[in-house]
Amino acid sequence: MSAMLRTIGRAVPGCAAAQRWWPGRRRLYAGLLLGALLGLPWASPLHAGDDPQLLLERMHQALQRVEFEGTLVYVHGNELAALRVSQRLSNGKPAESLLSLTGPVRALSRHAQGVTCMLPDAEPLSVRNAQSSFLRTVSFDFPRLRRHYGIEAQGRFRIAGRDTHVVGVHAKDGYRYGYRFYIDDASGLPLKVDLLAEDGHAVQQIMFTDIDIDIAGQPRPITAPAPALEDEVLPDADVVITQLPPGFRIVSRKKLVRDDGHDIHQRVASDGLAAFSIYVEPPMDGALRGRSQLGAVTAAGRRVDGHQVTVVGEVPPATAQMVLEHLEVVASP
Amino acid sequence: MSTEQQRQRVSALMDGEVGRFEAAAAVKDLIGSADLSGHWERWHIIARALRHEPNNIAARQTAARVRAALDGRDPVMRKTMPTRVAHWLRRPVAGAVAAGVLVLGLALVLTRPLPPSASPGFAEAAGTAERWQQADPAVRARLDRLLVTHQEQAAVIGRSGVAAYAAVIGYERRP
Repeated sequence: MSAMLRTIGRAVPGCAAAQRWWPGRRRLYAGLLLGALLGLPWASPLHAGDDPQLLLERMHQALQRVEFEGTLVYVHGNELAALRVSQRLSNGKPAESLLSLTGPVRALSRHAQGVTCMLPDAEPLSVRNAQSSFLRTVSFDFPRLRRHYGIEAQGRFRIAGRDTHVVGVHAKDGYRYGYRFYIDDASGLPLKVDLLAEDGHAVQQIMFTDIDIDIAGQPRPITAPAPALEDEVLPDADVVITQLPPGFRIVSRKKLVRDDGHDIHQRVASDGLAAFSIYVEPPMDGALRGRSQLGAVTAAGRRVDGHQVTVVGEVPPATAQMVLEHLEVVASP
Repeated sequence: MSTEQQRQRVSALMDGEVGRFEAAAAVKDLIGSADLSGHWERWHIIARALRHEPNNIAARQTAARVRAALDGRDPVMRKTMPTRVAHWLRRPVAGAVAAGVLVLGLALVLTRPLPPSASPGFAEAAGTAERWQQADPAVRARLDRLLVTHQEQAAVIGRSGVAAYAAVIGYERRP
């Protein structure tokens, strides 16, 4: 460590004097430098360079650790909306808020306890936080991702007056969307995200038009990598999914309780980037039959073996359809 | 045989880039030329295949059904159809349909496998301006809840943040 600091001192004129008092404060400054090198990797524009994988990792870290507030535009089809969004760290955990600036007032707040959402013509919606999801985030599994996506750096671009690196993540089939991330050089935040159909056209875009970023927000300790998520053991399951779209696997199973007391069984399937949920529950009012879209979000539902099954996620309709056509409920789930 | 000018005019008609008089000429060319009608058919099939839209082969049997009717099973129809059109329908369109089916098959072989096509029971919601294209507020509210619940669970794999909820808040019914 001391050799490295001396090298830095020789290379940087201002640091030459530092060498003179280096021995006396060796431990203190070694600790500070180590902290700077290890503690703020997401804040260093030199950290990721042009390597698309490092850029994506840096983006992933920044989303967990950087505070920001700004105006976001959301585009789907020919529709355009503007949102005021912010992310703050509370006890090291990100809390987000979104407020619509166009059309009827819509607002969403995500905090440690869950999500509260206010939409027009509807009761306020509250969803409790998934168990420890704030603490349990999984990095990208690139070998797995590359089986179904092509990942490449696509140069530089300016968004909201800031320099970004562009990373393209192209879907290799029609069962998932591709992505194009415009990653801020200074903070690692994605300032623009395009969701791309198989033919490359953008089905949804979100982009900051202005943003204030606090890179020096409260970094929380790097959590240990989450244990690998196991594939669902199909033979023991009451809900049998005979075939998932290529690359997807069940990463989460959870039982929820409906307002009327009935259970809802939720499975989350993911390919490491895209995800959708499968809900299985007794029939009820408000059940979806057929397919609906909310921007790039697909919802599809049908009755299967006397149960209502609904698939929801930011995936193409073909993905939801495939799941619905390869699902059986063998007992009361 | 059609001329290059005729083909360009029909192509422009397909793209909606012809004026009124030019369109009339293009339609006249189409009716009078089996070659052109074949081009017309194939261009449409290829365009739909490129857009991943379903090509309903059964719908293309309309010409065959009309031809069968003209062959004697529907004398009223045979009398009322202009001879020139009947001639157009009998042979060239059958050839065009066959060519179209051939091109469609070729397109399907040459392109990557398409996602599963829509099946009965998986119909797209009616095109209302409401969220989720659903007129029933109970369905809309339920889907919103399922989506937010999904996004919270998806946070487990680290796919969270503002972007995950942009659709929930950003999407609203058209005025």
